[in-house]
Formats: sequence, structure tokens, C-alpha cells
Amino acid sequence: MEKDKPISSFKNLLELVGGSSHFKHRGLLSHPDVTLLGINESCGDKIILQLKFKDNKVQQAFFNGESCSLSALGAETMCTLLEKEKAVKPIEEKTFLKSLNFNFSPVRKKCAYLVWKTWQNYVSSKPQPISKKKIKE
Amino acid sequence: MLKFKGMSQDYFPVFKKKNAKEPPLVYFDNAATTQKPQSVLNAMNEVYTAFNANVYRGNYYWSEKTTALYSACRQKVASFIGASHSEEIIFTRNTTESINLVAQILARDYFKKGDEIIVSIAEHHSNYLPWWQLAQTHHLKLKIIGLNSEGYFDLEQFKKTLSPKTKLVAIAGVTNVLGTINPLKEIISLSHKIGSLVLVDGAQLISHLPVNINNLDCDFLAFSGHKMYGPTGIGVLYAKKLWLSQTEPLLLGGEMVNNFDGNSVCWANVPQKFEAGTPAYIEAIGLGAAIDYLNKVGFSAIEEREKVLLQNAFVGLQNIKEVTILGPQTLKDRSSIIAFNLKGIHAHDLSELLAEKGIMVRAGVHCAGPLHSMLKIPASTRLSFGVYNTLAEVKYFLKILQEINQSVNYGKR
Repeated sequence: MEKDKPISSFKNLLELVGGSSHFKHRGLLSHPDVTLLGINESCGDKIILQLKFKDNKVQQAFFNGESCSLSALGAETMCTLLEKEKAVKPIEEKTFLKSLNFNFSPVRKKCAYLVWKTWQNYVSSKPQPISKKKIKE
Repeated sequence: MLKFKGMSQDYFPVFKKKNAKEPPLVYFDNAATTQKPQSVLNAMNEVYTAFNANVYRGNYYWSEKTTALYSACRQKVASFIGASHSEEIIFTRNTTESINLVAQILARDYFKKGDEIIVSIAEHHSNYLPWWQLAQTHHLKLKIIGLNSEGYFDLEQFKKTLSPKTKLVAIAGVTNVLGTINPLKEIISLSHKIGSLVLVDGAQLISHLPVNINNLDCDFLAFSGHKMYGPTGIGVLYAKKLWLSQTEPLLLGGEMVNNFDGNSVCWANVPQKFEAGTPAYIEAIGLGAAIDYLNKVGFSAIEEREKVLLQNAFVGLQNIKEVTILGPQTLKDRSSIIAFNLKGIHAHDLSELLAEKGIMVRAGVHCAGPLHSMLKIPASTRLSFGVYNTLAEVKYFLKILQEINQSVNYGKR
């Protein structure tokens, strides 16, 4: 995904999402350390975020599930950020938005933010060190 | 040919474009809320600008006038649904509040541990959650009726599920996702035979099909003003006069007492007994104007218009092989709602692409989570028609949908 070039329109976003090779973090990890579930009930978005850790740092982040393209973009953005930042701590909203690089309408905010919020909830409630528990749906 | 020009979008100020270059305004989300005719806006504006005063309280002209209009609107609602007494009409905020009011009263006065409540899988959350919650908190059993193989309410399963323990059946007149018209008369008759009460969620029914309470004989009917060309903030609960007069109120405060001296209380008569505090009298007046509008249009004209829209949309959608229509695959017993999915694109994305072309539809689970879970689909796109929608709009929608389909499924830009 070209991170520096903004996605010019919603149609472009759909084309991006349609080509699965653009989203390098879409898939399932074989042995994740943690699996998180983010749901936007009213929209029908359900995204699984899977993480592998090494030395208490994020090593790999992948996502999968049924979602609209904006949720998928938000998920891809978060996975990219998590692998880059590595630290198991909240990602600043402005950092996330800068990386997302896409103008969305206020109505779609919860789609874009779904995985960001899922991560924020996880790091604000989960004590260190990272356990290997799988959070069930 | 319009029989009454009030069905034209000219009669609805929201459709007036500021300039000709604006994109089309195709509003296909009437199940969520309807647009308001000028007459409704005039009726409410007149109160605000000419004689606004709280009802019942003032010994002066303005209050007398609003009180008279408010009472007249209650009678209009009663006549609209064929109720024998205007006292059987309780004004609430909306359908959801009406249903919750009944749920709380029944929980307090009626249900016993082990009693059963029946709902259908296709109910809106507002007619599912209150009963689901009561089942948890009051040790009741919630029984869910599914869909038959054609996608309709499974009447055979319902007959087998009814038992002497069934104390309430809560059912939509028209379902808000599938658009199916439930066999209310049969459901009510069967329920009453075993001694169960019946609540009808009339939110999607009330502005599409005529309702006659004496004919239906349901115990409760709930509906919202804003889904029948009236304002938001006003809803109706119909309940039988005998039940209302024997039931203690739930919400307490001003207006619903005849006398309270700090030691003893004497409740007001029905319906004021159930309307604590200042009512939404201006909204009720708006609802009255909406009923006048619907009476002027007439249900024959409404059904005729909606039949054309539904038929053309349904057949047009069926002709796109990448489209899956939810629920029955025929037009039998269907009202003017169609939910569908287009292969290769999430409902939310589809609705955004349609919106870019001026077509307003709803996408998601439409507050019908259990139904979507049962159907194993994450979301759907929903069309729902109103009196002002036109065949030209349906054709435009189908044209745009086909373009999107070509782009998504055939790579054609």
C-alpha cells in the first residue's frame, strides 16, 4: 500500500481493497499470541486482529474478518503501525489518522476507527507481561 | 397520473433543490424515517408562531387552543386505526418507548416465573430486546419463531410453540428488513385462544396498510409518528380501555394526577394517567396533520404507488444475478421494503457508492441483529419506499446499481 499517497476517492479505496495484494496484513497467523475481536454491530463489521510478540514487543500483526473497505483500511493501517512501533502501548489518534491518510465522512468514523479502538481497549485494560490467552468470540 | 398532487415531491420542501446542478435526491430510506409534507410543517409552525402554550394548564386562549388541538389529534389517531375510544390512545415518544412501557408494566403486574413470551426472529431490536431482557431478569422463557422455507413467518412452528404458558406474543405487522407482512389476524386469533396477550409493532405497517383495531383485536399496538410523515418525538401506544383503566401508571409526575397532597394520591383518568409531564403536544399536532395528509392521499393510492415501485425494484434486482434479495423471492405478502446484497461488495461500501450518486439507502443490520445472525450475513442494503418516490427513481437506482456491479464484478470502470 502506498502510504504516502492519499487515496483520492472512495472508489479508489474499493479498488485497493478489491486487490487483496494491496493489504499485506490481511490473513491469519498460524499461532497468534493474542487474538482480538472488533465489532461494529450496526454496520456488520467484524474484524479479528491477531498479534505475535517477541520480548514483549509486537512482532507481527494480521487482520481478517467481514468488514467494509474502510474498516479494512483502518485495520491494515493499524497492523502496519503496530509492526513499525512495536511497543505494546496506545497508538495516538493523530498518528493513526496521519497513517490512514483518507478523508472519510463522520458517519464512517467508527468503521475507520474499529481496529484502532480495539487495540486501544486492549492495551488500556490488559496488564503486562503479554499472556498467550486467545480471546474467544 | 397522480390522484392527489400531495404525493408529488413538490409537496415536500426537503426535495426542493437549491440549484439545478445539485445531484439527484433519491430518498429510499423511509423505513428509517419519512419526509414531511408542507401541511405537517405548517401545522407545527403555526403553534410555535401563533399560539404556543402548554396544554391543560392555562385558563387563557392559547392554552385552550393547544389543548383542544391536542385532544382532537388524539381522536384523529383513534379514528385512523379504528379504535373505539380516544382514551385508548396513549402518546409516547416513539414505537420503542411504547413497547418498553408495555414490557415494564407487564413485568410489574402480569408475568410470573416460567411464563413464556413469543417473538419472531425477524423482529426489530425494539420488539426483541425488551422481551429478551425481561426473560433474563424475571425468569421467563423467550421462544423465537423462525422463517419458513420461503422466508415468511413460520406459522406452523408458531402453532406448535404456543402453549398455556404463553402469556405474550410480540410481533411486527411488517418486518423492517424483509418487508414481509405477517399474518396478524391468524396470530392474534391463535394467541387469544390460549389466553395470551398480543402486542403488534406497527412501525412499518402504519403508513403502508390500513389498520383496523376492531378487526385485528390485538391488545397493544405501537407505532411512531416520524415513520408516517409526521414529526419525530411522538409515538402511539394503543391499548384496550379496560386494561388501561385497571393498570397502575408507570411514569409518575405532573399531569397524571387528579389530586396529590403529599399523603395520598388519586391518579388522573385514562389516558392522562399514562402521560406524565408536559406532553409533546406540538408533535402530536404534527401527527394529526400527518394523519390528515394520509387520509387525503388514501391507502388505495398509497398501495397502488408502492406496488409499482416494489414490483419494478424487485424484478430489476432479480435481473442482476449478482444480487441476492433477502427473504421471500416473490412479491406475495410484501410491503415496500427490500433488503439485498450485491456480490463482491460490503453493504456499507455499496451504500456509500450509491450515496455519491444521490441515492440514499440504509446499510447494516437495520437493528435486526438476530435475523442477520440467523441468515449468516454481516450486513445488507435496504430500500424502503414512501409516497413521494417515483418509478423514474427506481429505474435510476437500478441503472446505478448495474454500473456498480459491472465495476465490482466485471472490472469495468
